[in-house]
Amino acid sequence: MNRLIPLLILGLLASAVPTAHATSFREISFADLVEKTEAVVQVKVVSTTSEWTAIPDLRTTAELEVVRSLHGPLTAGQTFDVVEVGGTVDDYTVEAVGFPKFREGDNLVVFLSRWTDGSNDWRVHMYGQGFYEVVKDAAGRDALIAGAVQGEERNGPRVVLTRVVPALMRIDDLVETIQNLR
Amino acid sequence: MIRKITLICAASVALTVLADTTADAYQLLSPQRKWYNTPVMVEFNNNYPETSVTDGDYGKQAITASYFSNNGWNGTGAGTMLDGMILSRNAVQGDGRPTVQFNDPHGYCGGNCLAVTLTGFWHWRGGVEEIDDADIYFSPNTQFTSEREDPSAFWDCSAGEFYIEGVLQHELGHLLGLDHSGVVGATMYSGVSACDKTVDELGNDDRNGINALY
Repeated sequence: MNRLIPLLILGLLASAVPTAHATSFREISFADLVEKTEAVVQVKVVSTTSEWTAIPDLRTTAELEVVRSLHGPLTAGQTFDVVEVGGTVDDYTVEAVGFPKFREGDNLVVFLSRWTDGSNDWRVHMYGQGFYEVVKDAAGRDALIAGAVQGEERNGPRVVLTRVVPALMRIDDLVETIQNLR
Repeated sequence: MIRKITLICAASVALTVLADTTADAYQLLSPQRKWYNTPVMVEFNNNYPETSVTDGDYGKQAITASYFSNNGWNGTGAGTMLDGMILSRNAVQGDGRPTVQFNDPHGYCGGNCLAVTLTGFWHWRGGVEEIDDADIYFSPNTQFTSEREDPSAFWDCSAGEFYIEGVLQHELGHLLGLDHSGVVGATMYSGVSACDKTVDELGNDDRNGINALY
């Protein structure tokens, strides 16, 4: 019976409306999300730094510590950087509407891929659709909801959208679903 | 165990329904921000035409019509919001010159991204944010079409193509300070489907949003 649960969740994933939640995104399925991601990890945000690059553009580097590796080469305890466009320097902010927004101390699950600009830096795979906040469900277990993205106020009235992963999906079920898809 | 599965299913469905219904009207970007001088002069970069649009001028006339149409953001009742010109100048973040660019040299918009709007804003004027720059990048990996190229979405549009007019109108909504709406059919609705040619026609929800902000 235990094997039925991930299958059931997979069915729910397939039937859930994939809500595009960003600037303009093509709607993708969970299978599409998993297919080209290089790594999936539960992380804690250690620090964030924003700076103007030589392009010039404003980017934020988030240092993340791996709490648990769900898929791919990153290992628990390891720290690594994720780079996203946007950030704040002095009184000036650049936001890429719908792109992931990191905050120190956040507990997240992120799907990762690489920038294709030659830097090979990590970035969140498929933007807001590969970016989830870890919360406790009613039973006190880790579960996922859509993480805050640029253009949303973290402490304001949040619009909770399911995006691709259903709200309050348990991490263990996510792991098993990923393994079934790959 | 079956009871457990049933509970999981019920909770997931309930939350999915809840999630899809909580955002039932226009949303402003947060923190709220706006342009203090309108109309906003937007530059269309002519260096990299959108070559996937094969309507004779790479969508130039199509997007110009979309951009200036009285049914667009200029026709909401808030006044003339946008003006534009075609130039051969690349987008630069923070330069105070809003630019629409049909390529993505820095790789912002990959994967499933069709187009992205980057807004730059200052924190001042008594705590109110003022947008001073916004650049729109279209993905070079997406096949776009136009209403000139494919007048009938049903008969003409090829699978996987997106109408450039609708995507542009949506991005211009972000440029002006709107976030996604939960109203299905609104230009600022969070989802867009291939061959949907209705997105460039603003709905009441879009008009209400821009009128509330401006």
